[in-house]
Amino acid sequence: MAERLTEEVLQELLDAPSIDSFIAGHDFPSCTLSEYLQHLLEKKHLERARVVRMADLNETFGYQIFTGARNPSRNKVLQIAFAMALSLRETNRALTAAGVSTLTCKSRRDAIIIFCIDHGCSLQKVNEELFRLGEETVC
Amino acid sequence: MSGELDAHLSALARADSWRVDQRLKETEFETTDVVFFEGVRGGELGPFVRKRINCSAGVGSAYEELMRAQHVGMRLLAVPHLVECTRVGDTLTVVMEYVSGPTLQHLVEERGGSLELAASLFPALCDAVASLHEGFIPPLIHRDLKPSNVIVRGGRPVIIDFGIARLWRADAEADTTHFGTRSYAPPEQFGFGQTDVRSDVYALGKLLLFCLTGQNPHDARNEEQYEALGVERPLARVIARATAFDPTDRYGGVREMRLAFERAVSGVVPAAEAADEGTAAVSAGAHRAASDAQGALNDVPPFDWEYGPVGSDAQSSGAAVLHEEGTGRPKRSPKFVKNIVLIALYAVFVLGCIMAIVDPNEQDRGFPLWYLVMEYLSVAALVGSLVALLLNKPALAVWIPRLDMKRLRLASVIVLITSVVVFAAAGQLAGAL
Repeated sequence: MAERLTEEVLQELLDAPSIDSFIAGHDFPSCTLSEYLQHLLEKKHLERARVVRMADLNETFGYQIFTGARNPSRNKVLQIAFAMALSLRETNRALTAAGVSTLTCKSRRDAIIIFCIDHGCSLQKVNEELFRLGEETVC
Repeated sequence: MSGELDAHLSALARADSWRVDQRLKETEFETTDVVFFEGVRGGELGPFVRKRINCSAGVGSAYEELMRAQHVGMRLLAVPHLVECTRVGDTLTVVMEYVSGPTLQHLVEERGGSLELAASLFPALCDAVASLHEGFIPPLIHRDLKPSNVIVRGGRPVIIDFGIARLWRADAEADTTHFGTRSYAPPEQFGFGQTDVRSDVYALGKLLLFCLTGQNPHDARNEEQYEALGVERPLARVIARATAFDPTDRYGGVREMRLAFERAVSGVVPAAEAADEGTAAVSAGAHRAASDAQGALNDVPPFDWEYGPVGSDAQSSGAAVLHEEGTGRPKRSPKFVKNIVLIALYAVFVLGCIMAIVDPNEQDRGFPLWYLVMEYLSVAALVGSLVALLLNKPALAVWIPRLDMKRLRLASVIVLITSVVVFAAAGQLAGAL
């Protein structure tokens, strides 16, 4: 007479929960950073020039990142992530594509950055918080 | 936001200090453990319950709402106190108090469904759910109300597991996530429409059925079928309305349902007592004024929470086992002591009677022995039956499990009447002598 678990019923119904998040999680195979960023630009209907400006990056350098001519450092990727308002999952994908370590909450600095990403903070805000808490700012 | 960030960072810093004691549940979306907090100097706090929820499917947001509410000082008594609520990306970690007590599922499995149990628990449960609906704007809908998600702590229900609870959203036409336990979740939760407070009303209806009968077959769908399970008509009507397929046919809110329940009980109780005497069958329900509704529940005999140790021997699945450990009944409970006192007094009385027979005083010396025996025996029997009626039977049942309450009561009454007759007869005979 054991009660069937919620999850068993879920499977029985053959419905995927929240299609969007599953697509976001599964559709993009690991690729280069520039391809992934281009994909995100299209998905979010953003302009490259505006993103580069909001990310506080040098115009040429930004252009080169998006075309794949240059490999950015971790902090530069984070700047772009904040400018594009990426989710944590997307940011980590971008970091992996760039060949750098992902954001984990084990590191205090990373934890602050994750918190700011989750709360939709701007680049300026995250810099403020990092500075206030004595950590290295993003830019 | 800076304050929140600081709190978040301290919670993260503490994350390694939680020691997992037992895993209660592990699914794709949620991991639940019993944890203890280990202090720096070796001290230990706990137990607590820690849930790690994967929020990518849109679940778990209710805990953040509850945390926020708790933070601003809202008192939700029927909800476990939240210690910590930390979100990192898609993973939500919630630490809450460990609520001790049997789940409603376990309680009803042990004791069986009954009107007493329903009358003691259901109004409080309705109030608890109503506080969630009313305390939040938009209302917080639990969406997974079922017996294993209600813990009875000291006779009061506590609602747990807000995994799929959610604030009501006006824009969603149909929920994108389909969760719930089939026998308690309403049809709209499986894709026929938006879930709202009436979805919780449905679940409460099914819960009421479970409390009354100990069963919840998922093919029971209308009033006749509920009555066939042994529910009296007024209550079956309440359940039928609460579990109507179309939400517009159900009660508009949980408070309305509670009122209807109390009114139905007031109609059931006098009829139940009549049935006890062996007279007419259950009437269709007395029509009492609504103002009687509150007082009517007092007519239902209170459910005795001290009746025996609940499920202390049963080895059931995770949560139920742990929750039982908190219900250790102290042997020296007042009712038990009362029993002991009554029996002791009675023993003294019987001794007195025997002494009076064996060594009669001046007044009694004139009477023949058989008379004295008859008289004192009948008095002893009379007092004995009174004592038996006064004894707290559930506490007695702890010692004599096979005791049949109704038979004992009946036997006591018979002995009482017989002894009175004998005593009177003895008196008459003595007068004749």
